[in-house]
Amino acid sequence: MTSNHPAHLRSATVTIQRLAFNADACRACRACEMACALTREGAVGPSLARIRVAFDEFAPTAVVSARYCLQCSDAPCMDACPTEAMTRHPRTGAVMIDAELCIGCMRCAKACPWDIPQRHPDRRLATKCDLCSDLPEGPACVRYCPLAGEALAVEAVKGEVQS
Amino acid sequence: MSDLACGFAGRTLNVDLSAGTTETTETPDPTCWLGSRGWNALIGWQHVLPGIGPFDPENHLAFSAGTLAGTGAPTAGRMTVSSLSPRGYPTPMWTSATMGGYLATELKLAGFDTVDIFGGANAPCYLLIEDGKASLRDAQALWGLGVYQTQRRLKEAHGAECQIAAIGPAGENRVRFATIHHRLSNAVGNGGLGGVMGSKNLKAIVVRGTGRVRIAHPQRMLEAIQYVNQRISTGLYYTGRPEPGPEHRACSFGCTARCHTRLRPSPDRYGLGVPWLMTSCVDGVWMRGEPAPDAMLYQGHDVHGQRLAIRSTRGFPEQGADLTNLTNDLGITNWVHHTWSHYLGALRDMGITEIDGQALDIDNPDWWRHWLEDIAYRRGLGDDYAEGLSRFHDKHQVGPRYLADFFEDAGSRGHGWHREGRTMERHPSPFWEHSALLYAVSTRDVTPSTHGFFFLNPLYGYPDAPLTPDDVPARFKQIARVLYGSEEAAHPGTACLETVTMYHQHCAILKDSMGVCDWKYPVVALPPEDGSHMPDEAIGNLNAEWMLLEAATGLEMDPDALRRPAAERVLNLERCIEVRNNGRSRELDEAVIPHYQWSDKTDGTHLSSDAGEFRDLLNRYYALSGWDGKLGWPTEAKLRELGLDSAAETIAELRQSVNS
Repeated sequence: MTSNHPAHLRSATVTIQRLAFNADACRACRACEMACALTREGAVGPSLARIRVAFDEFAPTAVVSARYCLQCSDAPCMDACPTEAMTRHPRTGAVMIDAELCIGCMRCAKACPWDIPQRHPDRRLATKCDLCSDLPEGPACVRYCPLAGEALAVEAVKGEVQS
Repeated sequence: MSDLACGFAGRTLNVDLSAGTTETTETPDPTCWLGSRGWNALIGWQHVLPGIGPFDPENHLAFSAGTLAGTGAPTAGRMTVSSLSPRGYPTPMWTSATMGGYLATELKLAGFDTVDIFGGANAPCYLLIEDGKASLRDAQALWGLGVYQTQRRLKEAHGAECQIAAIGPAGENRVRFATIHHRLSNAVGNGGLGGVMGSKNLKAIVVRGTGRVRIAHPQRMLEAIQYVNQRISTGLYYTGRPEPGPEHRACSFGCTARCHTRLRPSPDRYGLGVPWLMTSCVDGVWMRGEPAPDAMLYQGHDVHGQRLAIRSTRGFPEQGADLTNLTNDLGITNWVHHTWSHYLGALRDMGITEIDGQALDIDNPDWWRHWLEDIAYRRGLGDDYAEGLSRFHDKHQVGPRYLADFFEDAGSRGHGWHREGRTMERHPSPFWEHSALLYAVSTRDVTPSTHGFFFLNPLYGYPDAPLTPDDVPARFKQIARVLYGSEEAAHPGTACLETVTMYHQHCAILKDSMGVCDWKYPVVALPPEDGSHMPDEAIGNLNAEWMLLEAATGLEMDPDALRRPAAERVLNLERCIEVRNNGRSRELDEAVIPHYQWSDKTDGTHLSSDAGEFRDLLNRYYALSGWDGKLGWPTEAKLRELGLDSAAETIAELRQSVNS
């Protein structure tokens, strides 16, 4: 896919925060989903949550799994965005979506290897986890996880990003 | 458009299986009916009229999501299912049962608070609910399948994210203790409602909802959630504090508590296609090991001098997982093993080694496998087992009547006696008295929504009786003072019995209606066992449900009004259904007396030969309830005080007919 970012940008190694999910420890209560939706949208519903937990008791393996943005250092979603609506938060390094600039084309989702960005059911714009970077207390999902630190945590990784 | 903007879906789905039609109506006022159990009672009162039997098309089967389901409230993933249950003994009884899992939340996300099902389909069908729309689908190909295979097939057809409640062969064949099953191990388990669903030719309910539940005060809701989480996340306050581990999984949407549920690999010897076993205290009945040779379930005597010694029977550590999943798959409640294994074991110890030519090979897991299958398909003697222990004994008269009654009788309403100081844990006075009073005025096994009544029991160090008030540890007195307003409530033989019992009845209705876990609400913590000081305010917040309800819905209610008059109203309407439909009266309430004339297994106490003290306790309970002491019926004045004018008129007419 063609990059929309200028070719002259340089790479830099930075610290990026992201969610770390431990399927063995997760109890699949889905409190993270509800806290996310309540905090970001003021309502509860998995379609509003930026993290989704699945618990399939009939599956032979991996009965608990989670879908959320990994805040990739190479961030193909950012490259794919035609309006440069996606930027990194200066403190957390999370990929943010500027709702003023997003046009809802969902090229970010197509570029994402895991199809993470979702179309917001009301606003029709792309949404994804931004680690609640605007909240000093950190991601709501982690705060409300009954096993925070074991099942769900924030981890910092080194990544090479364009600057 | 409903006025119930926040916290609720605002709509009830009414499904007429005879006509094959559906329609929607508005959800009744939750400030009056609290939620699921109250809404269901209203359906029972309005539509399940005298003369209707549990398997008649006119019977209703109501599924209602708890008021707090889908709001983010901790543990609030539960729903209440109610109907005229065939399990009731000696007559069918109006019964409510609750179920965890994901179905309650999914139903609300699909746009409904309640699904009220009535009539009967001409051929097997299932109900499909997708984002506000409902349709009936052909289930011929599913009929006869177990609940696991049924769910897998329906997920293949409608997507992995749909949530399903289904019956197995036991429900199809109207077994009186058949379940309605959901996921791996969630179930409307002990109420006996699977057979009602089967009688309607309804194999399953499939729900998919992608909507949302609006919250009136999101920030306040988050604060309330955090408050409750901090108090319940460390463990069950009256059964210990299980440690987290890789096997631990929540049984319900939104359950942030640690409890005994565990997900373990299953060998799947019976080829059910299920690689896992979800265990809880219920499922554990099959997996108990070999008891010590002298281990006794019960050893005691009744007030008439009759002695009874029942040995503990064995479970099956190796095959128990398979038997648990098989029981689930067939759609039978797992509790049957506890009741029947001890009953049949006692018969064998009395020299009765076969019934109708069938050997009682109860130490053999394969025997139990066939026993379960014979019940589910009503084959041979299984057809009689499927009627429940009391009805089985009525027909076969095997062994002494007192033995059968010890496990299940009219006093236990056709359910296995459970947590009454005799067949299970120790429950010395005053706990077995609470159990007796709860059973007396209930229509089913009382435990599932009233675990709280025994939270002062010996599991936490309450001493075995006999004891004096001075022997009661200070921490039990303190919690009694905080909860009931009197330290005396923790004393053996307390004069506060009826007050405490009624408090827990109202708590049960509130918890059921909110859809929260019985093991976690009210949010209470016991003071430390070492006697160190704990301030009263640290013991708990008895209004946690109200905090969550107010933040989620914006409804402005007095916290005390949730129990009285709201829960009290539901309790009275349920009683009126029983009085009107099934002739419930004091006489049947007193059917519990013989069981409690057996001595408590630890302190040896029991009701006296004339049970005068229990009849007096009933008088006090009826007076506190506003029920008359002669019939045990709600008085017209009480019903009108609760706004139940229709019920008041009906009871007045019935009273007139009794008096004339």
